[in-house]
Amino acid sequence: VSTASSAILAIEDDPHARLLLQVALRDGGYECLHATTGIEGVSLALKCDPSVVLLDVMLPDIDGVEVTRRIRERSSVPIIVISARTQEAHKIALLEAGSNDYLTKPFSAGELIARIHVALRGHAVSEMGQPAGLVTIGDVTIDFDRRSVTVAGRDVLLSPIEYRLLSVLVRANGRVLTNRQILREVWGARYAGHANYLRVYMSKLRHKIERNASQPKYLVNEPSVGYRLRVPN
Amino acid sequence: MAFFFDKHRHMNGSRLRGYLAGLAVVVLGTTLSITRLPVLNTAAFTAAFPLGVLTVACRFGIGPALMTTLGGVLAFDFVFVPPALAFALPGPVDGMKIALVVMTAAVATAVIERLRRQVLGARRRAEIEGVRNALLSGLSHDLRTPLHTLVGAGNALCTGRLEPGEHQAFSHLVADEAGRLQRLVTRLLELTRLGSDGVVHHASACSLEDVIGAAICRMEGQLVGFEVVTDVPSNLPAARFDPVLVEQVLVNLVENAIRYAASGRRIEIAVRQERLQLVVEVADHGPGVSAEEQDSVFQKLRRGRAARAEDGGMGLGLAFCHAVVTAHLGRIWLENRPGGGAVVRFTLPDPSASRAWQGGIAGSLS
Repeated sequence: VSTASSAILAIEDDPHARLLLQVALRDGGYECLHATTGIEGVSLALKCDPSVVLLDVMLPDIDGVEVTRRIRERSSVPIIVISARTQEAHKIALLEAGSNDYLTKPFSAGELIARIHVALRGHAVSEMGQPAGLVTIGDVTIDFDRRSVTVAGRDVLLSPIEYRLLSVLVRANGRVLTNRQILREVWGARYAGHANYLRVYMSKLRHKIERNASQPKYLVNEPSVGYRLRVPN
Repeated sequence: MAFFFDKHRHMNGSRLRGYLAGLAVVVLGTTLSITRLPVLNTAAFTAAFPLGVLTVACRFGIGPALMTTLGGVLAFDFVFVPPALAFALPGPVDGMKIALVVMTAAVATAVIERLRRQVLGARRRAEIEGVRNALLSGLSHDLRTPLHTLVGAGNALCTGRLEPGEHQAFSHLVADEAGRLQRLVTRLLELTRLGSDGVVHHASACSLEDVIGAAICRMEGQLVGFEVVTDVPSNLPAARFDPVLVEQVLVNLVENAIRYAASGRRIEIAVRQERLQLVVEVADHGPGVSAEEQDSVFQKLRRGRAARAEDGGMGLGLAFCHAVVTAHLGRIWLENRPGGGAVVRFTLPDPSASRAWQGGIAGSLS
Protein backbone atom coordinates (compact mmCIF):
# COMPACT_ATOMS: atom_id res chain seq x y z
CA VAL A 1 0.00 0.00 0.00
CA SER A 2 2.62 2.50 1.07
CA THR A 3 4.44 4.03 -1.82
CA ALA A 4 7.13 6.69 -1.82
CA SER A 5 4.71 9.00 -0.02
CA SER A 6 4.17 6.90 3.07
CA ALA A 7 4.63 9.87 5.41
CA ILE A 8 1.79 10.63 7.79
CA LEU A 9 0.73 14.21 8.36
CA ALA A 10 -0.17 15.14 11.95
CA ILE A 11 -2.10 18.41 12.30
CA GLU A 12 -1.81 19.17 15.99
CA ASP A 13 -1.12 22.47 17.72
CA ASP A 14 -0.13 21.11 21.13
CA PRO A 15 3.64 20.41 21.09
CA HIS A 16 3.45 17.61 23.67
CA ALA A 17 0.67 15.79 21.89
CA ARG A 18 2.63 16.21 18.66
CA LEU A 19 5.74 14.72 20.22
CA LEU A 20 3.73 11.71 21.39
CA LEU A 21 2.23 11.22 17.92
CA GLN A 22 5.69 11.48 16.39
CA VAL A 23 7.12 8.82 18.72
CA ALA A 24 4.15 6.50 18.22
CA LEU A 25 4.38 6.85 14.43
CA ARG A 26 8.14 6.31 14.45
CA ASP A 27 7.66 3.12 16.51
CA GLY A 28 5.02 2.01 14.01
CA GLY A 29 7.48 2.50 11.17
CA TYR A 30 5.98 5.65 9.69
CA GLU A 31 7.62 8.89 8.77
CA CYS A 32 5.85 11.91 10.26
CA LEU A 33 5.18 15.38 8.88
CA HIS A 34 3.52 17.92 11.08
CA ALA A 35 1.50 21.11 10.94
CA THR A 36 0.50 23.29 13.86
CA THR A 37 -2.44 25.17 12.33
CA GLY A 38 -5.40 24.19 10.17
CA ILE A 39 -4.26 26.38 7.25
CA GLU A 40 -0.77 24.94 7.27
CA GLY A 41 -2.29 21.46 7.57
CA VAL A 42 -4.47 21.93 4.50
CA SER A 43 -1.60 23.18 2.38
CA LEU A 44 0.75 20.37 3.49
CA ALA A 45 -1.97 17.78 2.92
CA LEU A 46 -2.39 18.98 -0.67
CA LYS A 47 1.29 19.65 -1.40
CA CYS A 48 3.09 16.69 0.19
CA ASP A 49 0.61 13.91 -0.65
CA PRO A 50 0.73 12.15 2.73
CA SER A 51 -0.71 8.61 3.03
CA VAL A 52 -2.87 9.51 6.05
CA VAL A 53 -3.79 12.76 7.81
CA LEU A 54 -4.20 12.82 11.61
CA LEU A 55 -6.32 15.82 12.52
CA ASP A 56 -6.81 17.20 16.00
CA VAL A 57 -10.20 18.94 16.07
CA MET A 58 -9.16 21.73 18.42
CA LEU A 59 -6.96 23.97 16.33
CA PRO A 60 -6.21 27.64 16.92
CA ASP A 61 -7.23 28.97 13.51
CA ILE A 62 -9.86 27.02 11.57
CA ASP A 63 -12.31 24.38 12.73
CA GLY A 64 -11.59 20.68 12.06
CA VAL A 65 -14.73 20.43 9.92
CA GLU A 66 -13.43 23.25 7.74
CA VAL A 67 -9.98 21.63 7.48
CA THR A 68 -11.64 18.37 6.39
CA ARG A 69 -13.79 20.18 3.83
CA ARG A 70 -10.85 22.04 2.32
CA ILE A 71 -8.74 18.89 2.05
CA ARG A 72 -11.67 16.98 0.54
CA GLU A 73 -12.11 19.56 -2.22
CA ARG A 74 -8.90 18.32 -3.79
CA SER A 75 -7.82 15.07 -2.15
CA SER A 76 -9.17 11.71 -1.04
CA VAL A 77 -6.38 11.08 1.48
CA PRO A 78 -7.72 9.21 4.55
CA ILE A 79 -8.34 11.61 7.45
CA ILE A 80 -8.38 10.31 11.01
CA VAL A 81 -9.81 12.80 13.46
CA ILE A 82 -8.57 12.96 17.05
CA SER A 83 -11.21 14.20 19.47
CA ALA A 84 -12.47 14.01 23.04
CA ARG A 85 -15.15 11.59 24.10
CA THR A 86 -18.04 13.92 24.76
CA GLN A 87 -18.26 15.49 21.33
CA GLU A 88 -20.55 13.18 19.35
CA ALA A 89 -22.22 15.98 17.41
CA HIS A 90 -18.81 17.21 16.35
CA LYS A 91 -17.68 13.71 15.36
CA ILE A 92 -20.78 13.32 13.20
CA ALA A 93 -20.14 16.68 11.50
CA LEU A 94 -16.54 15.66 10.81
CA LEU A 95 -17.48 12.25 9.41
CA GLU A 96 -20.13 13.83 7.19
CA ALA A 97 -17.63 16.43 5.98
CA GLY A 98 -15.53 13.54 4.72
CA SER A 99 -13.29 12.34 7.55
CA ASN A 100 -12.72 8.60 7.47
CA ASP A 101 -12.46 7.73 11.12
CA TYR A 102 -11.95 9.17 14.52
CA LEU A 103 -9.88 8.31 17.56
CA THR A 104 -11.12 9.26 20.97
CA LYS A 105 -8.65 10.65 23.48
CA PRO A 106 -7.16 8.97 25.40
CA PHE A 107 -5.94 6.31 23.00
CA SER A 108 -2.89 4.06 22.99
CA ALA A 109 -0.13 4.03 20.39
CA GLY A 110 -1.34 0.55 19.40
CA GLU A 111 -4.84 1.82 18.64
CA LEU A 112 -3.41 4.68 16.58
CA ILE A 113 -1.35 2.33 14.44
CA ALA A 114 -4.30 -0.09 14.06
CA ARG A 115 -6.54 2.73 12.81
CA ILE A 116 -3.87 3.87 10.38
CA HIS A 117 -3.73 0.31 8.99
CA VAL A 118 -7.52 0.27 8.59
CA ALA A 119 -7.45 3.68 6.88
CA LEU A 120 -4.70 2.65 4.46
CA ARG A 121 -6.45 -0.61 3.59
CA GLY A 122 -9.83 1.10 3.18
CA HIS A 123 -8.24 3.72 0.96
CA ALA A 124 -6.67 1.04 -1.24
CA VAL A 125 -10.10 -0.64 -1.61
CA SER A 126 -12.01 2.55 -2.39
CA GLU A 127 -9.38 3.56 -4.96
CA MET A 128 -10.27 0.35 -6.77
CA GLY A 129 -13.90 1.51 -7.00
CA GLN A 130 -16.92 -0.68 -6.31
CA PRO A 131 -16.07 -3.95 -4.62
CA ALA A 132 -16.31 -6.94 -6.88
CA GLY A 133 -15.69 -10.63 -6.58
CA LEU A 134 -15.28 -12.19 -3.17
CA VAL A 135 -14.66 -10.18 -0.02
CA THR A 136 -13.97 -12.12 3.18
CA ILE A 137 -14.23 -10.61 6.64
CA GLY A 138 -13.59 -13.12 9.42
CA ASP A 139 -15.94 -16.01 8.68
CA VAL A 140 -18.27 -13.87 6.55
CA THR A 141 -17.82 -14.04 2.78
CA ILE A 142 -19.66 -11.72 0.40
CA ASP A 143 -19.79 -12.54 -3.28
CA PHE A 144 -20.49 -9.19 -4.92
CA ASP A 145 -20.99 -10.75 -8.37
CA ARG A 146 -23.59 -13.28 -7.28
CA ARG A 147 -24.94 -11.00 -4.51
CA SER A 148 -24.69 -13.87 -2.04
CA VAL A 149 -23.37 -14.12 1.50
CA THR A 150 -22.03 -17.08 3.44
CA VAL A 151 -21.22 -17.25 7.13
CA ALA A 152 -18.78 -19.98 8.16
CA GLY A 153 -19.51 -21.78 4.89
CA ARG A 154 -23.30 -21.66 5.27
CA ASP A 155 -25.38 -19.71 2.78
CA VAL A 156 -27.28 -16.88 4.44
CA LEU A 157 -30.35 -15.42 2.79
CA LEU A 158 -30.40 -11.63 3.10
CA SER A 159 -33.25 -9.34 2.09
CA PRO A 160 -32.30 -6.65 -0.47
CA ILE A 161 -32.13 -4.01 2.30
CA GLU A 162 -29.98 -6.20 4.52
CA TYR A 163 -27.66 -6.92 1.60
CA ARG A 164 -27.33 -3.21 0.78
CA LEU A 165 -26.69 -2.41 4.45
CA LEU A 166 -23.95 -5.02 4.64
CA SER A 167 -22.32 -3.93 1.38
CA VAL A 168 -22.30 -0.25 2.40
CA LEU A 169 -20.44 -1.20 5.59
CA VAL A 170 -18.10 -3.54 3.72
CA ARG A 171 -17.30 -0.81 1.22
CA ALA A 172 -16.44 1.50 4.14
CA ASN A 173 -13.99 -1.21 5.20
CA GLY A 174 -13.73 -0.48 8.90
CA ARG A 175 -14.54 3.21 8.69
CA VAL A 176 -17.25 4.61 10.94
CA LEU A 177 -20.35 5.63 8.99
CA THR A 178 -22.84 7.98 10.61
CA ASN A 179 -26.49 6.94 10.87
CA ARG A 180 -27.42 9.53 8.23
CA GLN A 181 -24.72 8.39 5.84
CA ILE A 182 -25.93 4.79 6.05
CA LEU A 183 -29.59 5.78 5.74
CA ARG A 184 -28.84 7.88 2.66
CA GLU A 185 -26.86 5.10 1.01
CA VAL A 186 -29.25 2.25 1.79
CA TRP A 187 -32.69 3.87 1.79
CA GLY A 188 -32.09 7.14 -0.06
CA ALA A 189 -31.75 10.81 0.87
CA ARG A 190 -35.39 11.19 1.88
CA TYR A 191 -34.91 8.64 4.66
CA ALA A 192 -31.84 10.24 6.28
CA GLY A 193 -33.81 10.98 9.44
CA HIS A 194 -35.36 7.53 9.90
CA ALA A 195 -32.89 6.12 12.40
CA ASN A 196 -35.49 3.56 13.48
CA TYR A 197 -35.21 1.76 10.08
CA LEU A 198 -31.49 1.47 10.58
CA ARG A 199 -31.85 0.10 14.11
CA VAL A 200 -34.36 -2.53 13.10
CA TYR A 201 -32.46 -3.73 10.02
CA MET A 202 -29.10 -3.65 11.78
CA SER A 203 -30.54 -5.98 14.39
CA LYS A 204 -31.95 -8.29 11.70
CA LEU A 205 -28.61 -8.34 9.91
CA ARG A 206 -26.78 -9.06 13.15
CA HIS A 207 -29.03 -12.01 13.87
CA LYS A 208 -28.11 -13.45 10.47
CA ILE A 209 -24.39 -12.63 10.38
CA GLU A 210 -23.21 -12.70 13.97
CA ARG A 211 -22.86 -15.77 16.14
CA ASN A 212 -24.36 -13.75 19.00
CA ALA A 213 -26.20 -10.58 18.04
CA SER A 214 -25.70 -8.91 21.41
CA GLN A 215 -21.95 -9.61 21.36
CA PRO A 216 -21.23 -8.52 17.80
CA LYS A 217 -17.84 -9.26 16.26
CA TYR A 218 -18.49 -7.37 13.02
CA LEU A 219 -21.45 -4.98 13.16
CA VAL A 220 -20.53 -2.64 15.97
CA ASN A 221 -22.43 0.44 17.12
CA GLU A 222 -20.67 3.68 17.94
CA PRO A 223 -23.09 5.19 20.47
CA SER A 224 -24.68 8.40 19.21
CA VAL A 225 -22.59 8.40 16.03
CA GLY A 226 -23.20 5.41 13.78
CA TYR A 227 -21.86 1.97 12.94
CA ARG A 228 -18.67 0.40 11.75
CA LEU A 229 -17.76 -2.98 10.37
CA ARG A 230 -14.97 -4.37 12.46
CA VAL A 231 -12.47 -6.12 10.27
CA PRO A 232 -10.43 -8.68 12.20
CA ASN A 233 -6.70 -8.44 11.53
CA MET B 1 -47.59 21.05 50.78
CA ALA B 2 -44.84 18.89 49.34
CA PHE B 3 -45.00 16.35 52.14
CA PHE B 4 -48.52 15.65 51.08
CA PHE B 5 -47.49 14.15 47.77
CA ASP B 6 -46.52 10.54 47.67
CA LYS B 7 -42.94 10.42 46.50
CA HIS B 8 -42.96 6.72 45.66
CA ARG B 9 -45.90 6.83 43.34
CA HIS B 10 -43.85 5.52 40.45
CA MET B 11 -43.24 2.22 42.24
CA ASN B 12 -45.50 -0.74 41.60
CA GLY B 13 -48.25 -1.31 44.14
CA SER B 14 -48.68 2.38 44.87
CA ARG B 15 -51.09 2.72 41.97
CA LEU B 16 -53.26 -0.05 43.48
CA ARG B 17 -53.01 1.62 46.87
CA GLY B 18 -54.34 4.83 45.32
CA TYR B 19 -57.41 3.14 43.93
CA LEU B 20 -58.02 1.32 47.21
CA ALA B 21 -57.77 4.62 49.09
CA GLY B 22 -60.24 6.22 46.67
CA LEU B 23 -62.62 3.33 47.22
CA ALA B 24 -62.24 3.69 51.00
CA VAL B 25 -63.11 7.41 50.76
CA VAL B 26 -66.26 6.62 48.77
CA VAL B 27 -67.35 3.81 51.11
CA LEU B 28 -66.75 5.99 54.20
CA GLY B 29 -68.74 8.88 52.71
CA THR B 30 -71.60 6.61 51.70
CA THR B 31 -71.77 4.85 55.06
CA LEU B 32 -71.81 8.15 56.96
CA SER B 33 -74.52 9.51 54.69
CA ILE B 34 -76.69 6.42 55.12
CA THR B 35 -76.74 6.98 58.90
CA ARG B 36 -78.94 10.03 58.10
CA LEU B 37 -77.58 12.01 61.03
CA PRO B 38 -79.02 15.56 60.84
CA VAL B 39 -75.62 17.15 60.05
CA LEU B 40 -74.96 14.75 57.16
CA ASN B 41 -77.45 16.10 54.65
CA THR B 42 -77.08 16.78 50.93
CA ALA B 43 -75.30 20.09 51.54
CA ALA B 44 -72.72 18.48 53.78
CA PHE B 45 -72.15 15.73 51.25
CA THR B 46 -71.68 18.13 48.32
CA ALA B 47 -69.28 20.25 50.40
CA ALA B 48 -67.27 17.27 51.62
CA PHE B 49 -67.20 15.60 48.22
CA PRO B 50 -64.46 17.75 46.55
CA LEU B 51 -62.39 17.49 49.74
CA GLY B 52 -62.34 13.70 49.46
CA VAL B 53 -61.47 13.82 45.76
CA LEU B 54 -58.70 16.38 46.30
CA THR B 55 -57.16 14.38 49.13
CA VAL B 56 -56.96 11.38 46.85
CA ALA B 57 -55.64 13.52 43.97
CA CYS B 58 -52.84 14.94 46.14
CA ARG B 59 -51.70 11.59 47.41
CA PHE B 60 -52.20 9.32 44.43
CA GLY B 61 -52.66 11.33 41.26
CA ILE B 62 -55.31 11.74 38.65
CA GLY B 63 -56.47 8.15 38.03
CA PRO B 64 -57.59 7.35 41.60
CA ALA B 65 -59.10 10.87 41.84
CA LEU B 66 -61.28 10.27 38.79
CA MET B 67 -62.37 6.94 40.20
CA THR B 68 -63.28 8.62 43.50
CA THR B 69 -65.32 11.23 41.63
CA LEU B 70 -67.26 8.56 39.78
CA GLY B 71 -67.80 6.55 42.98
CA GLY B 72 -68.94 9.70 44.78
CA VAL B 73 -71.51 10.50 42.10
CA LEU B 74 -72.90 6.97 42.25
CA ALA B 75 -73.00 7.14 46.07
CA PHE B 76 -74.82 10.49 45.98
CA ASP B 77 -77.35 9.08 43.58
CA PHE B 78 -77.75 5.96 45.73
CA VAL B 79 -78.24 7.78 49.03
CA PHE B 80 -79.84 11.13 48.25
CA VAL B 81 -81.58 10.98 44.89
CA PRO B 82 -85.13 9.69 45.48
CA PRO B 83 -85.98 6.89 45.72
CA ALA B 84 -83.39 6.67 48.55
CA LEU B 85 -81.03 3.71 48.71
CA ALA B 86 -81.54 2.83 45.07
CA PHE B 87 -79.97 3.98 41.82
CA ALA B 88 -82.22 6.29 39.83
CA LEU B 89 -81.98 8.97 37.19
CA PRO B 90 -81.57 12.30 39.09
CA GLY B 91 -84.04 15.14 38.57
CA PRO B 92 -82.91 18.57 37.29
CA VAL B 93 -82.00 19.95 40.74
CA ASP B 94 -79.97 16.94 41.83
CA GLY B 95 -78.52 16.72 38.34
CA MET B 96 -77.34 20.32 38.60
CA LYS B 97 -75.84 19.66 42.03
CA ILE B 98 -73.98 16.61 40.71
CA ALA B 99 -72.71 18.50 37.65
CA LEU B 100 -71.44 21.43 39.72
CA VAL B 101 -69.70 19.23 42.25
CA VAL B 102 -68.08 17.12 39.55
CA MET B 103 -66.88 20.22 37.73
CA THR B 104 -65.40 21.67 40.92
CA ALA B 105 -63.65 18.39 41.62
CA ALA B 106 -62.36 18.12 38.04
CA VAL B 107 -60.92 21.65 37.91
CA ALA B 108 -59.29 21.28 41.31
CA THR B 109 -57.92 17.86 40.41
CA ALA B 110 -56.32 19.26 37.27
CA VAL B 111 -54.67 22.05 39.27
CA ILE B 112 -53.52 19.62 41.94
CA GLU B 113 -52.13 17.26 39.32
CA ARG B 114 -50.06 20.02 37.79
CA LEU B 115 -48.79 21.08 41.19
CA ARG B 116 -48.05 17.48 42.08
CA ARG B 117 -45.98 16.98 38.94
CA GLN B 118 -44.05 20.16 39.67
CA VAL B 119 -43.27 19.06 43.20
CA LEU B 120 -42.23 15.57 42.12
CA GLY B 121 -40.13 17.05 39.30
CA ALA B 122 -38.43 19.49 41.65
CA ARG B 123 -37.73 16.72 44.12
CA ARG B 124 -36.21 14.54 41.41
CA ARG B 125 -34.09 17.42 40.12
CA ALA B 126 -32.86 18.11 43.63
CA GLU B 127 -31.96 14.45 44.06
CA ILE B 128 -30.05 14.32 40.78
CA GLU B 129 -28.35 17.60 41.49
CA GLY B 130 -27.30 16.29 44.90
CA VAL B 131 -25.75 13.16 43.40
CA ARG B 132 -24.10 15.15 40.66
CA ASN B 133 -22.65 17.75 43.00
CA ALA B 134 -21.36 15.11 45.39
CA LEU B 135 -19.73 13.32 42.47
CA LEU B 136 -18.19 16.52 41.18
CA SER B 137 -16.75 17.54 44.52
CA GLY B 138 -15.54 14.00 45.22
CA LEU B 139 -13.83 13.92 41.85
CA SER B 140 -12.26 17.33 42.19
CA HIS B 141 -10.86 16.29 45.54
CA ASP B 142 -9.50 13.05 44.13
CA LEU B 143 -7.77 14.89 41.31
CA ARG B 144 -5.32 16.54 43.71
CA THR B 145 -3.53 13.39 44.87
CA PRO B 146 -2.31 12.11 41.49
CA LEU B 147 -1.57 15.66 40.36
CA HIS B 148 0.63 16.26 43.36
CA THR B 149 2.53 13.02 42.74
CA LEU B 150 2.90 13.80 39.04
CA VAL B 151 4.36 17.24 39.62
CA GLY B 152 6.79 15.86 42.20
CA ALA B 153 7.88 12.94 40.06
CA GLY B 154 8.14 15.14 36.96
CA ASN B 155 10.39 17.62 38.74
CA ALA B 156 12.55 14.82 40.11
CA LEU B 157 12.95 13.34 36.62
CA CYS B 158 13.88 16.76 35.20
CA THR B 159 16.73 17.34 37.65
CA GLY B 160 18.41 14.20 36.30
CA ARG B 161 20.12 13.42 39.63
CA LEU B 162 18.45 10.05 40.13
CA GLU B 163 19.86 6.55 40.51
CA PRO B 164 18.93 4.35 37.51
CA GLY B 165 16.52 2.33 39.71
CA GLU B 166 14.87 5.52 40.93
CA HIS B 167 14.62 6.81 37.41
CA GLN B 168 12.67 3.75 36.38
CA ALA B 169 10.51 3.85 39.52
CA PHE B 170 9.63 7.50 38.88
CA SER B 171 8.79 6.79 35.25
CA HIS B 172 6.35 4.08 36.34
CA LEU B 173 4.95 6.41 38.95
CA VAL B 174 4.26 9.03 36.29
CA ALA B 175 2.57 6.49 34.01
CA ASP B 176 0.42 5.05 36.83
CA GLU B 177 -0.64 8.36 38.32
CA ALA B 178 -1.34 9.86 34.92
CA GLY B 179 -3.51 6.84 34.15
CA ARG B 180 -5.44 7.38 37.35
CA LEU B 181 -5.85 11.04 36.57
CA GLN B 182 -7.08 10.15 33.12
CA ARG B 183 -9.77 7.82 34.49
CA LEU B 184 -10.95 10.50 36.88
CA VAL B 185 -11.09 13.18 34.24
CA THR B 186 -12.99 10.87 31.88
CA ARG B 187 -15.60 10.38 34.59
CA LEU B 188 -15.72 14.11 35.18
CA LEU B 189 -16.29 14.80 31.50
CA GLU B 190 -19.03 12.22 31.29
CA LEU B 191 -20.70 13.73 34.30
CA THR B 192 -20.92 17.09 32.58
CA ARG B 193 -23.17 15.41 30.01
CA LEU B 194 -25.69 15.03 32.78
CA GLY B 195 -27.27 18.45 32.96
CA SER B 196 -27.52 20.07 36.39
CA ASP B 197 -31.26 20.42 35.78
CA GLY B 198 -31.65 16.65 35.99
CA VAL B 199 -32.68 16.39 32.36
CA VAL B 200 -31.00 14.02 29.93
CA HIS B 201 -30.15 16.30 27.02
CA HIS B 202 -28.96 13.78 24.46
CA ALA B 203 -31.72 11.18 24.74
CA SER B 204 -33.01 9.60 21.55
CA ALA B 205 -34.70 6.34 20.63
CA CYS B 206 -31.94 3.78 20.96
CA SER B 207 -31.46 0.04 20.92
CA LEU B 208 -30.10 -1.74 23.97
CA GLU B 209 -28.68 -4.44 21.68
CA ASP B 210 -26.52 -1.74 20.05
CA VAL B 211 -25.32 -0.28 23.31
CA ILE B 212 -24.61 -3.61 25.02
CA GLY B 213 -22.64 -4.70 21.95
CA ALA B 214 -20.70 -1.43 21.93
CA ALA B 215 -19.90 -1.71 25.66
CA ILE B 216 -18.67 -5.31 25.31
CA CYS B 217 -16.51 -4.33 22.31
CA ARG B 218 -15.00 -1.45 24.24
CA MET B 219 -14.20 -3.79 27.16
CA GLU B 220 -12.73 -6.51 24.94
CA GLY B 221 -9.22 -6.12 26.31
CA GLN B 222 -10.33 -6.33 29.94
CA LEU B 223 -12.68 -9.25 29.28
CA VAL B 224 -9.96 -11.61 28.05
CA GLY B 225 -10.32 -14.82 30.07
CA PHE B 226 -13.93 -14.05 31.03
CA GLU B 227 -16.98 -15.74 29.67
CA VAL B 228 -19.68 -13.18 28.84
CA VAL B 229 -23.20 -14.54 28.49
CA THR B 230 -25.82 -12.19 27.03
CA ASP B 231 -29.55 -12.65 26.93
CA VAL B 232 -31.11 -9.84 24.88
CA PRO B 233 -34.53 -10.58 23.31
CA SER B 234 -34.40 -10.05 19.54
CA ASN B 235 -37.70 -8.15 19.41
CA LEU B 236 -36.79 -5.66 22.11
CA PRO B 237 -38.44 -2.26 21.52
CA ALA B 238 -36.31 0.87 21.28
CA ALA B 239 -36.05 2.90 24.47
CA ARG B 240 -35.36 6.60 24.91
CA PHE B 241 -32.00 7.22 26.51
CA ASP B 242 -28.61 8.83 26.05
CA PRO B 243 -26.59 6.00 24.49
CA VAL B 244 -23.22 7.41 25.53
CA LEU B 245 -24.23 7.61 29.20
CA VAL B 246 -25.95 4.23 29.25
CA GLU B 247 -22.97 2.61 27.52
CA GLN B 248 -20.80 4.06 30.29
CA VAL B 249 -23.18 2.68 32.93
CA LEU B 250 -22.78 -0.77 31.37
CA VAL B 251 -19.01 -0.40 31.18
CA ASN B 252 -18.89 0.58 34.87
CA LEU B 253 -21.06 -2.36 35.88
CA VAL B 254 -19.01 -4.82 33.83
CA GLU B 255 -15.78 -3.39 35.30
CA ASN B 256 -17.27 -3.94 38.71
CA ALA B 257 -18.22 -7.50 37.84
CA ILE B 258 -14.66 -8.14 36.63
CA ARG B 259 -13.25 -6.68 39.82
CA TYR B 260 -15.37 -8.80 42.13
CA ALA B 261 -15.53 -11.90 39.97
CA ALA B 262 -12.99 -13.73 42.19
CA SER B 263 -12.82 -17.26 40.78
CA GLY B 264 -16.15 -17.16 38.95
CA ARG B 265 -15.03 -15.83 35.60
CA ARG B 266 -18.48 -15.64 34.08
CA ILE B 267 -20.45 -12.41 33.62
CA GLU B 268 -24.08 -12.40 32.58
CA ILE B 269 -25.84 -9.47 30.93
CA ALA B 270 -29.58 -9.74 30.35
CA VAL B 271 -32.46 -7.50 29.34
CA ARG B 272 -36.06 -8.19 30.27
CA GLN B 273 -39.13 -6.35 29.11
CA GLU B 274 -41.57 -5.73 31.92
CA ARG B 275 -44.96 -4.09 31.76
CA LEU B 276 -43.78 -0.47 31.87
CA GLN B 277 -40.04 -0.73 31.65
CA LEU B 278 -36.95 -2.48 30.39
CA VAL B 279 -34.83 -4.12 33.08
CA VAL B 280 -31.12 -4.52 32.40
CA GLU B 281 -29.00 -6.70 34.66
CA VAL B 282 -25.31 -7.38 35.01
CA ALA B 283 -24.52 -10.40 37.19
CA ASP B 284 -21.27 -11.92 38.40
CA HIS B 285 -20.31 -15.11 40.25
CA GLY B 286 -18.21 -13.39 42.87
CA PRO B 287 -18.69 -13.40 46.63
CA GLY B 288 -21.73 -11.07 46.58
CA VAL B 289 -22.19 -8.14 48.94
CA SER B 290 -23.18 -7.76 52.57
CA ALA B 291 -26.68 -6.61 53.46
CA GLU B 292 -25.34 -3.26 54.64
CA GLU B 293 -23.42 -2.65 51.45
CA GLN B 294 -26.43 -3.60 49.37
CA ASP B 295 -28.15 -0.36 50.32
CA SER B 296 -25.15 1.92 50.67
CA VAL B 297 -23.12 1.02 47.63
CA PHE B 298 -24.79 3.57 45.34
CA GLN B 299 -24.78 6.26 48.01
CA LYS B 300 -21.10 6.23 48.95
CA LEU B 301 -20.46 9.78 47.90
CA ARG B 302 -23.48 11.25 49.52
CA ARG B 303 -22.22 10.11 52.89
CA GLY B 304 -18.99 11.95 52.32
CA ARG B 305 -16.92 8.78 52.11
CA ALA B 306 -15.79 9.86 48.68
CA ALA B 307 -14.26 7.06 46.69
CA ARG B 308 -10.73 7.38 47.91
CA ALA B 309 -8.10 6.43 45.49
CA GLU B 310 -7.50 2.93 46.82
CA ASP B 311 -10.50 1.62 44.98
CA GLY B 312 -9.50 3.50 41.83
CA GLY B 313 -12.74 5.43 41.79
CA MET B 314 -15.00 2.38 41.78
CA GLY B 315 -17.44 3.79 44.32
CA LEU B 316 -17.50 6.73 41.99
CA GLY B 317 -18.42 4.40 39.17
CA LEU B 318 -21.54 3.13 40.90
CA ALA B 319 -22.55 6.60 42.06
CA PHE B 320 -22.22 7.67 38.44
CA CYS B 321 -24.53 4.79 37.40
CA HIS B 322 -27.02 5.88 40.04
CA ALA B 323 -26.97 9.48 38.80
CA VAL B 324 -27.42 8.46 35.16
CA VAL B 325 -30.22 5.97 35.80
CA THR B 326 -32.07 8.38 38.10
CA ALA B 327 -31.85 11.10 35.47
CA HIS B 328 -33.48 8.66 33.03
CA LEU B 329 -36.35 8.18 35.53
CA GLY B 330 -35.13 4.66 36.18
CA ARG B 331 -34.12 2.79 39.29
CA ILE B 332 -30.89 0.93 40.08
CA TRP B 333 -30.35 -1.62 42.81
CA LEU B 334 -28.07 -4.44 43.82
CA GLU B 335 -28.99 -7.92 45.02
CA ASN B 336 -27.27 -11.15 45.89
CA ARG B 337 -28.13 -14.02 43.62
CA PRO B 338 -29.47 -17.26 45.09
CA GLY B 339 -26.66 -19.23 43.44
CA GLY B 340 -23.95 -16.84 44.71
CA GLY B 341 -22.63 -13.62 43.24
CA ALA B 342 -24.11 -10.18 42.93
CA VAL B 343 -26.44 -8.71 40.36
CA VAL B 344 -27.01 -5.04 39.61
CA ARG B 345 -30.30 -4.27 37.91
CA PHE B 346 -31.45 -1.00 36.45
CA THR B 347 -34.59 0.07 34.66
CA LEU B 348 -35.29 2.32 31.71
CA PRO B 349 -38.83 3.38 30.86
CA ASP B 350 -40.21 1.44 27.90
CA PRO B 351 -41.79 4.03 25.59
CA SER B 352 -44.01 1.53 23.79
CA ALA B 353 -45.37 0.23 27.09
CA SER B 354 -46.13 3.69 28.46
CA ARG B 355 -47.84 4.67 25.24
CA ALA B 356 -49.96 1.54 25.39
CA TRP B 357 -50.75 2.28 29.03
CA GLN B 358 -51.86 5.83 28.31
CA GLY B 359 -53.60 5.40 25.01
CA GLY B 360 -54.76 1.81 25.15
CA ILE B 361 -53.03 1.01 21.87
CA ALA B 362 -51.08 -1.99 23.00
CA GLY B 363 -48.94 -3.79 20.47
CA SER B 364 -48.95 -1.03 17.87
CA LEU B 365 -45.23 -1.68 17.46
CA SER B 366 -44.62 -5.04 15.92
